[in-house]
Amino acid sequence: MPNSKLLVPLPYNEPILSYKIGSREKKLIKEKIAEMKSNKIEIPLIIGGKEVKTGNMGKCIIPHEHSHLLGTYHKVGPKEVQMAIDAALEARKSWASMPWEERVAIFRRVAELLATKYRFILNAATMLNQSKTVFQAEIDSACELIDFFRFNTYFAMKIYERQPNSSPGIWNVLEHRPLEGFIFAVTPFNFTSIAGNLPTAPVIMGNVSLWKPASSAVYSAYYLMLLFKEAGVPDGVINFIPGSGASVGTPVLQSPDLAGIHFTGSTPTFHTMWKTVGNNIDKYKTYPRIVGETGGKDFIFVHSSADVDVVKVAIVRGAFEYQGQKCSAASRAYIPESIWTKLKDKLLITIKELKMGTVEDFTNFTNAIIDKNAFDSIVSYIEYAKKSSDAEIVIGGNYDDSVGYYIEPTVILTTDPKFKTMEEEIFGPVITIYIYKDNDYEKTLHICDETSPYALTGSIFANDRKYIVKAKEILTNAAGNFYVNDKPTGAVVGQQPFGGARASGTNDKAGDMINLLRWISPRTIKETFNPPIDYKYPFMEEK
Amino acid sequence: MDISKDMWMEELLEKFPEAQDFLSRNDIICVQCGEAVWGSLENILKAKDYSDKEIDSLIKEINEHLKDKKTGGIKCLIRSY
Repeated sequence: MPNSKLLVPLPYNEPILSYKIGSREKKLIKEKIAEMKSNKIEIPLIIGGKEVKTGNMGKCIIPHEHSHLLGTYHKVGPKEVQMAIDAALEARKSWASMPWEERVAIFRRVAELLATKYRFILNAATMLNQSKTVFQAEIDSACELIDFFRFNTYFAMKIYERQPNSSPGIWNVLEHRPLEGFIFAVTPFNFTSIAGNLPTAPVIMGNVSLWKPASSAVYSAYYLMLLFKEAGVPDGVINFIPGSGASVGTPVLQSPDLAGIHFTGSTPTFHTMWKTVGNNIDKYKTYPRIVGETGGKDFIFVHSSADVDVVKVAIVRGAFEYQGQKCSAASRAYIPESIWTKLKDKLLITIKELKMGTVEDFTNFTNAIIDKNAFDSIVSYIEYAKKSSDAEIVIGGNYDDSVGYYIEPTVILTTDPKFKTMEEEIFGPVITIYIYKDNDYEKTLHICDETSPYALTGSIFANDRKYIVKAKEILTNAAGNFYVNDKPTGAVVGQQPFGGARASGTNDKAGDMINLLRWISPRTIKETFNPPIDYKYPFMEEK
Repeated sequence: MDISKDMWMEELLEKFPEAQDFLSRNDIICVQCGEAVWGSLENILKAKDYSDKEIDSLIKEINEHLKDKKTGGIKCLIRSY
């Protein structure tokens, strides 16, 4: 629309449906779960808007009932990766030059379709394929993802608004160009919202993307692709290429047209990608932007002035919701000696109440671990703790993968603040507690700061303000998302921009303008209205 | 088929899931954030400062361990803790 200066509607956070007893949403989600569970689907690659089948198949399973197949998916090979690159670059020609407000309109439509028609499809897919309770699915695949689309489109306008000053007689303009090439989006299993955000945030800014979803979450990712298509995202703008890291990552990272990486996943994988980019740096047409949110060893730090019941709830929700499979999940806690006994008693009572089982039983608080490999990895940490003289299992520690990949919410108590499970990311329902002497508050804050290479999220619990101030000071660089008297999980788009530094990533704050700025390459244009016609400057005159 | 140093972790775990316990006991991270880490076994070991000789030795050891049918493989070791 050339003769209007448009204002994108103000974004707002999508309200969370309660799924309380007798509600419409509870009825609809149960119907959708039953429907999707009873159908098996075949998932193709989607390249240039076309379905592509390779015959090299992977499985989409239900983690809490792993013998049940939701569907199969075709895995990409090197030939299809090149097809996807070609399709993306072709689509870029029209997408990059499309008026920004048209791109915004498409993604506002994505948001509204997700809030309505696709809400229960995506929530049911996430519950089944990623083993989430209805509440965890609702705050993820519905609310957070809707928020990403609403806020990112608004922030895009705010970025485009930003223009330089101009002296008299000239007009300076910043043109916020998309990057020259394609973006490689590699998404994790644990949040459908992140899966949806990583390929689309750059796209909103005029880029095109290749999207490799996590192999354990291809099912819900496929439904996102259907949503994008229905909302009007043009063919080739987002290319869906599930497959192994080796078959996708190797050819993509060697492409001269790689313009950026948008990644959420593990620190070692991010290191591998970054090193590969470094090794290939002579090949690229432009320096690829590398944006990654990786691991965490997120902490709860408690002062003796804290409210014990508040701490208890924060530990239970922060460590065990979604089986601890959140980058932000609390996985280590520092508790003062004076309140430990009281806290322990309350924790044990509450954790014993927690029900674990299928997502169809809405009374469950936790469900299953995503797959066998993750299950075995978490179990190895629990067994390590069981065998160690520096640790004991306070509660939990049992596991069973006969039907689903179930691991009990587990609390480890250690006498060593540098114990393995205090340092390493476990990504499961396991929290390790270290008891410190009340007088060692500051000393223990320093230990917390220095124990892990990560710096994603962390919480301080205290009622005496001066101890909160001290914790904020000592832990300045220990977390990119820092919480006071709240659990370290549950960041909301537009309210708590998410991301951490150190080994936790590039801290480019998903769902914020900071992130979108990584996907543009500004061109400065200076226009002079009355250009000089004489090369001489006034200082050159002597007579 | 044996494990080789150019095998990516994802493929390794798909074909030899029981190798994870062996590797994690040697402080080699196979799975993080719920997914197999990217890269060949050789690259992953080199990032942990393994020399070429140590890499060859470790891989030989894993393969011998996996062939030990009497113990039923490492998977059974996990169960018997």
